[in-house]
Amino acid sequence: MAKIIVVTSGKGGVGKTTTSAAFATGLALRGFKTVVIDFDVGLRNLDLIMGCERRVVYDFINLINEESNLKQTLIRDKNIENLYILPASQTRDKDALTTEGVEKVLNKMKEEFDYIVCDSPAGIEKGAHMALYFADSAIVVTNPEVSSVRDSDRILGILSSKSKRAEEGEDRITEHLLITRYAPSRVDRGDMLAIKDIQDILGIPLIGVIPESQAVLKASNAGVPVIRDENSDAGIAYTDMVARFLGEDVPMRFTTAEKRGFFKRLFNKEEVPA
Amino acid sequence: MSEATEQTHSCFKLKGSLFTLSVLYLYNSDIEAFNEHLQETIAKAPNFFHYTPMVLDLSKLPSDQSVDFPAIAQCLRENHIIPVGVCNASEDLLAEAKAAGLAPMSNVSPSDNKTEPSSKTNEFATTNTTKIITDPVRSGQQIYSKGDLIVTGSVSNGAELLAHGHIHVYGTLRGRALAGISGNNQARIFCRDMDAEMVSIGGLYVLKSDDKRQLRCQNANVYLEGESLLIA
Ligand SMILES: Nc1ncnc2c1ncn2[C@@H]1O[C@H](COP(=O)(O)OP(=O)(O)O)[C@@H](O)[C@H]1O
Ligand SMILES: [Mg+2]
Repeated sequence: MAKIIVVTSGKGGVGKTTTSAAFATGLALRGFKTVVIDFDVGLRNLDLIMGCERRVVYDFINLINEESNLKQTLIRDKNIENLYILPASQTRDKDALTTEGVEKVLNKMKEEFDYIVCDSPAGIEKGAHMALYFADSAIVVTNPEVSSVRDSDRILGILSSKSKRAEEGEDRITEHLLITRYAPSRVDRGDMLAIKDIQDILGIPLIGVIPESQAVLKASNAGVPVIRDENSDAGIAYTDMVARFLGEDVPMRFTTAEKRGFFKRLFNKEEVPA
Repeated sequence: MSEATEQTHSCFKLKGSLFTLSVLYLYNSDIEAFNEHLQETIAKAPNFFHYTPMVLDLSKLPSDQSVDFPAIAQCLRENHIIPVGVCNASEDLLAEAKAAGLAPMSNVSPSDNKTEPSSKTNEFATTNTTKIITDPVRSGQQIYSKGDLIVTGSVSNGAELLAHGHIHVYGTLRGRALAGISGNNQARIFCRDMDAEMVSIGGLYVLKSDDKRQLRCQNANVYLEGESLLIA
């Protein structure tokens, strides 16, 4: 039976899709059969980040409306055997994502997969609500700035009150904090919130810190999730995060300006400006 | 929260909801005596009577008395109290009340002793219903308690606590806390770590933007003394 994990944040542009792609790829690289679903109806871009946009034929809404079946709709990753992508529709309306429809599709996939990763759209409306409603775990993606932390806080409130688990009084959703686009030097300058401040406000366990990295842009242009760039700081940070999700005890990296300098020297090819 | 995000194309949506309303028991329909007593009552608890919706309960009124509803309604309005309806009225009086623009409210049995006339007008009895919240209260959430409210975790910016009685917060209070919301100015707010956006007791409030230092402290005890809100 698959575990459903939502990657959510409230705010847009914080790195949910980047994280969904990296995380799902990381789980598949560890041997788990994984599918990543794009819930951002109308603004799909997970397929771009995963490098499969040209192979999209059917989408999530077709599947919900039974215009296609799982086998026709899921796109298998070119390189990784256990990894599948369910693209969002680019043309349909958000309202096509019905609770019953989403549940039906998830139930079908649950039998086949180990992990189902749901890439949530921004906001707290329909699409975001559908992405988190059936979740067992949540990865709350937060940037080190006040507005992002506030939006994550709202999402945590929704996870604990408006998810299926909350409504049916089951065990609560397991919540993980992932801080992305972290720039230790900017924290030192006071332009960004420090990890501890974010943790104090949100009060959930930290699963990883992904540094602000040019490797992310490079990876998305290439259509290869950044976790496959094994020598990049962001790639390493995502690999660590997957390990922690699987219960391993891995120390945090890239959290102080000094350490970052050290890795920069080690991987100095990353220093080329974008 | 979800209402604000549900965008429909219609002009409005009807929904049932419950509100706490104050009830005024009429013992005597003499308008002058009424006005006099009203002035005295308001003088004792001015914050409580600021655009408070009020229901007139006629259960204590001698059955042969007539009532000048338009006069009473006007008197209330002039004192910033909004008469909304009547209950426990005889059929004849109910018709007159309706004619004066008052809604018929479902009748309630006048059993509470707190409705007896009392010289201590600010004694709004708190009930024993204490609510305990063990989850963090997140931005956009609102928690309401008919009695006391105990929050064991933190209260985020943009979250709101409302209680008729006292409020206790054992985590960090970053949001708003309003105790004694029905005018109980004996209510207090206790807070282990306070960095609040706003605290209020019995309608009197202090905003963070008014006084930053005051609302940032450890082991806070917020209470009313006369007309001022003290934070110790
Ligand atoms: N760690 C990072 N370092 C640098 N840029 C990043 C990082 N994470 C995300 N980005 C960039 O931020 C933008 C938004 O990311 P995306 O994953 O699409 O966010 P969301 O799905 O939350 O809207 C993209 O341009 C992406 O390349
Ligand atoms: Mg996205």
